[in-house]
Amino acid sequence: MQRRDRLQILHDVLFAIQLKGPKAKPTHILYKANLSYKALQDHLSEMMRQELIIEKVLEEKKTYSLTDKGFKFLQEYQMVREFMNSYGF
Amino acid sequence: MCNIFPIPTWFAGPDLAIEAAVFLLTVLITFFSYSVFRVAPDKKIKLLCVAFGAFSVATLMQTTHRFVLLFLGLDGTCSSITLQNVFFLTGGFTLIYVLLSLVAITLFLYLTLRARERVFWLIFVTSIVSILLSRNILPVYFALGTIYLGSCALFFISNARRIKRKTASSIALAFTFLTIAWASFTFAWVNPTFYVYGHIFELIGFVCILANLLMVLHATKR
Repeated sequence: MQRRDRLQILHDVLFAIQLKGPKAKPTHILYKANLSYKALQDHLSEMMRQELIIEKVLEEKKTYSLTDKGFKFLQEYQMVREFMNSYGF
Repeated sequence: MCNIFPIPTWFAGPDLAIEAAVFLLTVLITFFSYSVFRVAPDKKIKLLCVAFGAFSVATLMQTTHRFVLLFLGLDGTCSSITLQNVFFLTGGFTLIYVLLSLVAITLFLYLTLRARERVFWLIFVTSIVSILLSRNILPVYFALGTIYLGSCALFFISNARRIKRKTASSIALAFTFLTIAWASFTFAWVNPTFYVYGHIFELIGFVCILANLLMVLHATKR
């Protein structure tokens, strides 16, 4: 099985959040994106820093939703993938 | 010190036009790469943008340098002050051009080697030191550039053979042309005709990179 690169993981996490709708819980993302808890936390905080997702806390429970930038990433992922592949990255 | 290219006299105007065309191409490539980076803020894409941006500014320096030299040459006067200005300008422009384009080429090499960040600095610093310590800055820079671009071209050729896609082939072709261009520039001091070949291959190389970006955009819009 081929190892996923950072960009693929980013896509998988965003896709998992999109599937669950506007309020995706960490457990759901964890299963759908096939990540460990520690890896997921690292990726989520990085994605929040890059403004791809936003975190909301409701009744002491964290939920995540996509920003416009996150939606755009999912829409144009194929283009980015093709660009990266052409350079062998 | 070899800071000026031995240019064939008939090519003194057309080379400026080709340099300007290369500058426009690199600006377009940087713009497209940046638009990809804005969608996916990835470190590798960011470094590609920086590399193309550095190439763009370096080519702008080269074009301005050529323009100033051509302008001073057409003036018809050759006073000692003009000559001093030419030497001062040429030294400054050459140094900036070499520094910026070496940043770009070393970044390409670093990305293809998939090495740690310190490898980039190691290659860059040793290259800069060896270029600055040499008596002939430009020939040494182009010789080193040929080796680095050749290494990148080999990586991109193996990538194109592995994934068998037009976009990957265009990048492999582009870096092969750029390697030939840099090798031609290295031999320009042996025979000035190589300076002409260098410019043509450089232009074709950047056209291939732009074609790759257009193919990427076209393929994903379908």
